[in-house]
Amino acid sequence: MVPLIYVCDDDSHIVRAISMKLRKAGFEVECFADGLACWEKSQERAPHMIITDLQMPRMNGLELCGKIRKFPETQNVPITLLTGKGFEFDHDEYIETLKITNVMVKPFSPKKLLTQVQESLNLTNDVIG
Amino acid sequence: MKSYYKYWFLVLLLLVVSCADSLLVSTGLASPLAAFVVALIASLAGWIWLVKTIQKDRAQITAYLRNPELKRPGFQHKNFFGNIFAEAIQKIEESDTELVSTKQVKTMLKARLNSLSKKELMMESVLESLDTGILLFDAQHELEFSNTAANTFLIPEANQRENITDSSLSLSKALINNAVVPELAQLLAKTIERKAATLRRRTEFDFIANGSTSHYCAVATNLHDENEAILGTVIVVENIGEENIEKARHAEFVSSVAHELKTPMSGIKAYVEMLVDGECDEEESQELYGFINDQIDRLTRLVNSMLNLARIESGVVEIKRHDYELNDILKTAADVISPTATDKDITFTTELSDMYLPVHVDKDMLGQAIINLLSNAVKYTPNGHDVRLRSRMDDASAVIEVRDTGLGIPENSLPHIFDRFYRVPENNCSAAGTGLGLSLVHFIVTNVHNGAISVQSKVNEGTCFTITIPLGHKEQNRKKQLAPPANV
Repeated sequence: MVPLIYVCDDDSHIVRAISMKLRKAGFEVECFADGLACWEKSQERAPHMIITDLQMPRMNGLELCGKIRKFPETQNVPITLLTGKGFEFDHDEYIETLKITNVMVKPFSPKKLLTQVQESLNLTNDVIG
Repeated sequence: MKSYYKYWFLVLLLLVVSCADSLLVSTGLASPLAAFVVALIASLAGWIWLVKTIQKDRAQITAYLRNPELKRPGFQHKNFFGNIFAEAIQKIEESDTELVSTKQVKTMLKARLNSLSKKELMMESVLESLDTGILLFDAQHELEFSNTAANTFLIPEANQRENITDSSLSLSKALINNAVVPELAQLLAKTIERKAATLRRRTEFDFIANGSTSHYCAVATNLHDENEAILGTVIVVENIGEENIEKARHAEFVSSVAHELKTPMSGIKAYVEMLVDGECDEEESQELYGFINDQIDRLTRLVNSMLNLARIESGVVEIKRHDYELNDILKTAADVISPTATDKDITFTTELSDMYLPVHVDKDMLGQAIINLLSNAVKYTPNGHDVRLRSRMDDASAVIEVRDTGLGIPENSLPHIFDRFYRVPENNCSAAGTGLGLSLVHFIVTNVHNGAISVQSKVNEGTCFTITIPLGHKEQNRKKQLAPPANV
C-alpha cells in the first residue's frame, strides 16, 4: 500500500518541489493551497502523513494541526510543520500540545524532508497499518 | 582745643583786668569805684563778645543742620560747638553708612531670592512639562516633590495606611506613610538600604494608569552633597510601553521580512537540490530552471520594494509630479492585479468615473499605492469573493475606492493599520506581509500628494479604503501663465 501524504502550502513552488520529491520516492501525494482544503479532504480520506506550512489563508497550520489531532481518524497521523518563522515561534510548545512530529525551518532540504517522512512513517507503521 | 583759645583769652583778660584793678587800688592810683567800673566794662565787653561768638556758632550749626544733604561741614571758622558737632556728624555718618550697607545687603538678598525663586519656578515648569515622572524624597525619606507625570504613582492620603507590618518594608518613611505605589516604595527602600554600595537602582514593572496597563522603568538615585552627606533620593519613572511595543513591532517586521525572503529561497533550494542530485529528466530540469528564475525575480522584487520604501520615506527618491488623468493610472494598476485576482477566483471589477479626472501626481508612486491596496484586498479576501476599484469626482477632489468583501479589520486594529510594521493579529496567519504596505500608501497619499486616506471595515464583511486626491492640472496653468500675450 502506497502511503498517502497531504502537502499543504500557499506557495505553489514549495508544494511543487515537495510533491515532486515525494512522488519520485514512491509516495502518493495530494496538494492543498490552504489549511481548510486540507482539513476538508482529511475528513473524507485520512492521509498517512501531513506536511503543512504554518502561515496560510483561511486556516493556518496550527489550526489544521489542532483539528487533525481532535479528529479520531487522523489523531495519530504524523505531521511535519514547515515554517519560515524563526525566533518568535515556540517549537517546543506546539510540538508538545499539538503532537507535531517534526518542524522544518525554511529553506529546507527536500532530501532531509524525505528522510524525515520515511522515519515518521516507519515509527508509526503500526498506526498506519 | 584750638577752638577754645578765645574763651581762655577772655578768662585771661578778666584776670589781667582784675589784677590791674587790684594794683591800681592798692597803689592808690585809682579809686575802688573807678577800678570797679573798669572791671565791669571789661567783663561786659568780654561777655558781649562771648555771646556774639556763641550766637554766630549757633547760626552756623543751624545752617548746617538745615542743609538737606547733610554733608559733612567744612567750618569757615573755628566754632565753639565745632568738635562736638563734627563728632556727632561723624557718628551719624557712620551709622548712616552701616544703614546703607544693610540696605544694600537687603537689596542683594532680595534680588538673589527673586532669581532663585525664578530658577525654582523654571525648574519646576521643566519638570512639570516632562512625560517622565519625577519623585524627590528628602534625607528623612519624606516625599519632597513630585511632578504631574508622577501623580499616577502617588497614593492619596486618604488611602494611605499608617502601619505596614512587613518588617522588610519598614525602612523608609515613604513606605510607612505609604505615599507611593508599592513598586516604587520597594525600589526606594532598597536604594536607601544600599546607600554606599550602589548609587542607583533600576526596576521595571507593569502598572495600570487611566484604565490601561503599561510597562514602566523606574531608576532611583541617592543624592549626596560635596561632603558625601545624603541629601535625599530621586526616582525617575519612564513609560517604556511604547518603546517595547516599537521593539516588538520591529522584531515582528524583521521576522516578516525573513519569512518573505525564506519562501522563495525554499523553492530555489529545493529545485537546486533536485537538479544537483540528478533526479529530473531534461524536460523537468528546464521547468525547474524556469521556476528558479521566477523565484529569483520574486526575491529581487521583494528586496526592491523594501529599498523603495526606505528610499521614499527617507526622501532619497525624487518626487516627479506631472499632470495625468487619474483613470489611466487606475487602469494600469488594475491590469497588474487582475491576474492575481483571477488566480484566486476573485471577481475583480473596476468602475471608473466617466468624467475626466485631472490630477497632478507622481504616477509611479500613486500607482504603487493603488497596487498595494488592491494587492491587500486580494490577499485578505477569500476565494470566490469580490474586489472592486472605483473612481469618482467629489467637489474639488478625485476619490478612489478600493472595496473588498474579505476578512475585514477588527475595530481595535483600525487606528493602527497605517503604522509601520503593524499587522492585524487576527489576519496575520492568513497571508504573508511585512506590515509596510499600508504605511507606504499612507505616506504616498498624504505626504507626497496632500491627499487623505480613510478606511471603513467590518469583520467578515469586508473593507473599503477611500483615497482623496486634489483635482486639477498644474502644468497647463503654468504654460498658460508663461505663454506670451496674443497679438491682436
